[in-house]
Amino acid sequence: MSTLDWAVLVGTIGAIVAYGVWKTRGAQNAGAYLRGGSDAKWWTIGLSIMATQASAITFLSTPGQGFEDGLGFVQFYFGVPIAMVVLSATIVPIYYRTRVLTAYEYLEQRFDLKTRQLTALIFLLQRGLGAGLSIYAPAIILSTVLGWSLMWTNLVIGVVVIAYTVSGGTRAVNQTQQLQMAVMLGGMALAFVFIVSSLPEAVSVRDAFGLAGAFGKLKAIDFTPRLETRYTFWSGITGGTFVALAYFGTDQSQVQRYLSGESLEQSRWGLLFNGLLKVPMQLLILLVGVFVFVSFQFQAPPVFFNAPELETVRASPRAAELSVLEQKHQTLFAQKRALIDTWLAQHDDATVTQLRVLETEARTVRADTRKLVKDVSPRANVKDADYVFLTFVMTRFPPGLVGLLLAVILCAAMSATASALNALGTTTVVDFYKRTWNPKASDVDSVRAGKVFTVMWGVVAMVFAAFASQVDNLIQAVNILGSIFYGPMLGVFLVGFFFKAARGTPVFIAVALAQAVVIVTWLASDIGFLWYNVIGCAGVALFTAVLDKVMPKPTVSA
Amino acid sequence: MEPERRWGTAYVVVLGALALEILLLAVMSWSYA
Repeated sequence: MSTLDWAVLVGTIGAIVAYGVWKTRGAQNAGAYLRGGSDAKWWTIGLSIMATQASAITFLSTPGQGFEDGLGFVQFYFGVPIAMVVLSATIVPIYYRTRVLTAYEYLEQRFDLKTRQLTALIFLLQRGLGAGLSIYAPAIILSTVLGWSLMWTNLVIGVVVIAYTVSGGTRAVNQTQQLQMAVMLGGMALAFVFIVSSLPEAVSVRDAFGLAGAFGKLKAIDFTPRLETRYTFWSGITGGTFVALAYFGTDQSQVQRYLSGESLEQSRWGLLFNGLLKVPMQLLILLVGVFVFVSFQFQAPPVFFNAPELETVRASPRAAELSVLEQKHQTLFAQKRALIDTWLAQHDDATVTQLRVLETEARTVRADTRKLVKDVSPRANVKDADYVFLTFVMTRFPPGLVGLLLAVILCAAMSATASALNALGTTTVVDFYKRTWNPKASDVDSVRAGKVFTVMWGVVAMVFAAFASQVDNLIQAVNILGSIFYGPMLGVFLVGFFFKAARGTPVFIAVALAQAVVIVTWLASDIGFLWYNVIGCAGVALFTAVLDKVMPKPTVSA
Repeated sequence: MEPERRWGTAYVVVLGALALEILLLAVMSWSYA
């Protein structure tokens, strides 16, 4: 990495953190620390919501998905605009009316303390792991591609985030996220422009789209009604809506963003802003991946993108097998390259058919290489799609832009982790410390406890990041983890909002039962994980309805 | 504009944008199939 890249990277991150700390300097009361002073405008809320969801995984794995499978993953986000409208119209006004600091606080007002603390505990467990993953995921990839130490990368991301989150609380998180989001969107837009402009002169943008289409990368919508297919229009519009409702409506890391709004109106505009921008933003990131694929049709890509693992095979007794596979890969690349020239001149269907045949063979060679790497190093991460974008950036981008793209990835890691730590600290203080452990805590005690718990959760996240073993595909691991818990979580809130007669104990048991059903479904079936949200949510509603009838109603003494 | 009507319009704009995006993506998927 050049000096210019280091200057851009350190300058961008340093300036954002310094701005956040400067904007929130001075003593703060509990309201300002935990709720951000209730003065955020809609654009701060909107950008903060987007930055919270956009983790580094978004910028590493999503282009990898675009490279590997095309635009289909965009369907997962179709539920976001729908959820934003539903939340703005129903749940957000209730949060404002009940003046809660956390989503779980509402559940005590509606049901009872045990339901509040059970859901808060589920959140703490899930988001605590999620925060660890949001540090670990970029750290493992950055350390592999750039040769950075994994431990130091974990440590630097974790310590910087803890420092500004603890010093400025919710307000610091909101303020830094505005700038982080600007860097992320600007960086990705520049990356897209650079990739398109670096294609050979003979290839127009229209040709590039034509080529991507010829390889099946532009199939964004799949109307096939199959439960096993992970991303379809149907799973996106139903499961995607449920997961977005649960995530934005009940996950404190998001709820805290819009509850810091100046008014209900500002919070609603912030959510709708997110609803308008989310799908185009994800589409842009996927398109970056698709164009990386197109670019690799003109300059040979490696047969496998996790370079250190490839070197392990090269140093093993099975190196000869790798050479054969690399040779096949090169030959197929040359054949495809010749056919692409023909296609650019003729734009005919016959050439497209031949290209697709060669691409299928190339995929088989890549799959064989993955298998070889796995045979040689059983613990190796062979899902190399996560490494595609960063490899492309490091080998093809000019100095300066490399630093900016690394800043995008680190900004994303920090923004997602900061929201998580902020929410974990707040939930621990509001739903446990002030409610049960120390009900007489003063304002000063609460701020101090908020800082202590934020540090504690930061340390938990860093320890988890340091010891996390390699997971399959990082973004999917996080989404699957979310989907296992989100369904029942959303269910309990929906029952609270819409089942006026539902009581605390039946709901509490229903949540436990529905959670068990989701876990069994996950372990024992092939159903796509987006459906877990629907099953968990419907399970809570169904079990509550049955238990409410079966369980004796409390007698009211005269 | 009355608040409720204004929010109604805002919701229709957000959902309309989604419908338009899906339509465009479906046309793109179909035309490059």
